[in-house]
Amino acid sequence: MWNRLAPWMLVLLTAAPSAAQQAKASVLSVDTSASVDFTTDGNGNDVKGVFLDTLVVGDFGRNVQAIVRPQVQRLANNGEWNRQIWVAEMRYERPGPVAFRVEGGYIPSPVGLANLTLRPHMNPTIAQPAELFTSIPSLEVRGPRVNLLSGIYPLGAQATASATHWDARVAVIDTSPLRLRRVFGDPNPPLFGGNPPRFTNVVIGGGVTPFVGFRVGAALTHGGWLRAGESPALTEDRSANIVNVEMELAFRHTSLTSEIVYDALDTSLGTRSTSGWYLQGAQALAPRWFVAGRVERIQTTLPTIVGIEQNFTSTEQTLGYRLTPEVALRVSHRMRQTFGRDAWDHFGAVSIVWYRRWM
Amino acid sequence: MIFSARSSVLLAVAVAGLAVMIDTEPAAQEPGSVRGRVSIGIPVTAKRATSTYSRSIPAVALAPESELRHVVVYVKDAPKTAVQPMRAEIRQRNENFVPRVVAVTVGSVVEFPNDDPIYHNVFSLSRAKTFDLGRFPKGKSRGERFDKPGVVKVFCQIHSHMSATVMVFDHPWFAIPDEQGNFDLSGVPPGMHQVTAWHERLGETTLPLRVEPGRPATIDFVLPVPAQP
Repeated sequence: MWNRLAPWMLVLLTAAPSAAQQAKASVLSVDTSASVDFTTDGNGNDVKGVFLDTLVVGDFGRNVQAIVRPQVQRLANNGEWNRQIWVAEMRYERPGPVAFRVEGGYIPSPVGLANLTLRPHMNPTIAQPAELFTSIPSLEVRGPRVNLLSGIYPLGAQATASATHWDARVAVIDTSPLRLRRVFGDPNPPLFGGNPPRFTNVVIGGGVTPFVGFRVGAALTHGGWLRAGESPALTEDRSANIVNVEMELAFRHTSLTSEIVYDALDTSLGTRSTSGWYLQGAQALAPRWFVAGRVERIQTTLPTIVGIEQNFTSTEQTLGYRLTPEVALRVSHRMRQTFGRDAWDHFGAVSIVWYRRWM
Repeated sequence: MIFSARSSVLLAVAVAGLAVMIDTEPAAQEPGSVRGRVSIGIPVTAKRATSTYSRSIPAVALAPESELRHVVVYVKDAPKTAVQPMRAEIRQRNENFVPRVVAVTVGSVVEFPNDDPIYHNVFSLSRAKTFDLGRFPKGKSRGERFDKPGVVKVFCQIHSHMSATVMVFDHPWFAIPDEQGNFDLSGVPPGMHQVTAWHERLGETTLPLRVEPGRPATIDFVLPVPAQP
């Protein structure tokens, strides 16, 4: 009997496992994005920024994923190294004609398009949109400075549904999209007046895609933005409403992105508003060459009885060259007119960006 | 007159016949063929779609193709030969390139139809071919001609998990195995050859093989390591 079985056993032992003939989706997805930027201003002051992050997605099966994105950054303005966990969340996704997603933890901001391009390889220019990182003059007397719309990864939960021609989302987050929030930092979140500015904010948003390549979306955010005591004039918490409208248009070798943000903030002087917009475009000239640019403007008022308007305007023009599918070189010129100044500041910058999808 | 006219004619015919016998090359050898089977000995993983930075949710994943359809078997040291251009296609479907590997002759056109209700942006920066097809909607297609032999890695600028390979040959002795891994290269010049099985992730495995005139030579591959004799 063994004589008969032996050849079959040999075949079974030496044959490649049948499962090996089909690829299985990897359990882990890992990619890395990095950039080194050199910026010089009109006075010859040079600054260097370094950014490195990794996005890890672990698949647990049954459409459940864990996502984490550690990040290290050398801040160009002060040279400090900043280490953060920007995303640390669990997610359930159900694909289909009407797809559904629920996620919780430190999530990518549910407000704004610019928050979705915070990784260097996703940003066609060297600088990020100013609305995310440029503090506007304080809207409350001796109160903290906030941003038109911060680049944040709040602690919260979000539910999203999407189909071919529409998407909708609702989220609850633990901080105002006007305030920077960090997982690691001291103090963290940044403290003003001894009270951590954690506020419940609710976001409702959605968009329509009438045809492929064109999407218009909007979101409304409501929640606290200022805690009692963060300003000497404040005896109670203040809330804010944030409305943003976003637009994406892409065709052939061209892509355009725009966002309009309007903030209405309760202050001790009544409701004050601040607003802004940006328009960003990218154009591939050849397989390796591309140009990109951005125009942006922020308008705000000083916390005086008669509000004095102040503006911020910035433009950037970038020329890029793809060395490989993973490495791109960029040079850019930036012009900036900051709040309360008539003069324009000029900056030149070069950047090398590397992105690799490991698995 | 030592020779008669008749003798002269016979001599001329004899000399001419001798010259023909001397100048004529030996008859071309009948070509052989290379047959065999490829199998993959280790599990292969594919990149998964991720949507961390997206307002939309990825499509349902396709049933995976046999990885054996992503193998190309070819005669590595084949001489450059005049070849007929072909037509091939790589579809963009459910955020994947389908198939992920095609093999064509020099001068061939590969079409890239978009079957998805979203944009893709097919491009390559490979030495053998650099191109950028831009974005085009569902139901449309763009083609690209491949004029140089080599390996062309194709990507989507929008979806980082999407990649494909176009292998371009300046000879006809290449094949993509069937679902069972079987392949057949016909018309291979007789002699000693290096035969390669290439897989986009497992790399290439090359084995020597003697091809006899008019006879099939057999070679099997177990990727990523050479088959044991």
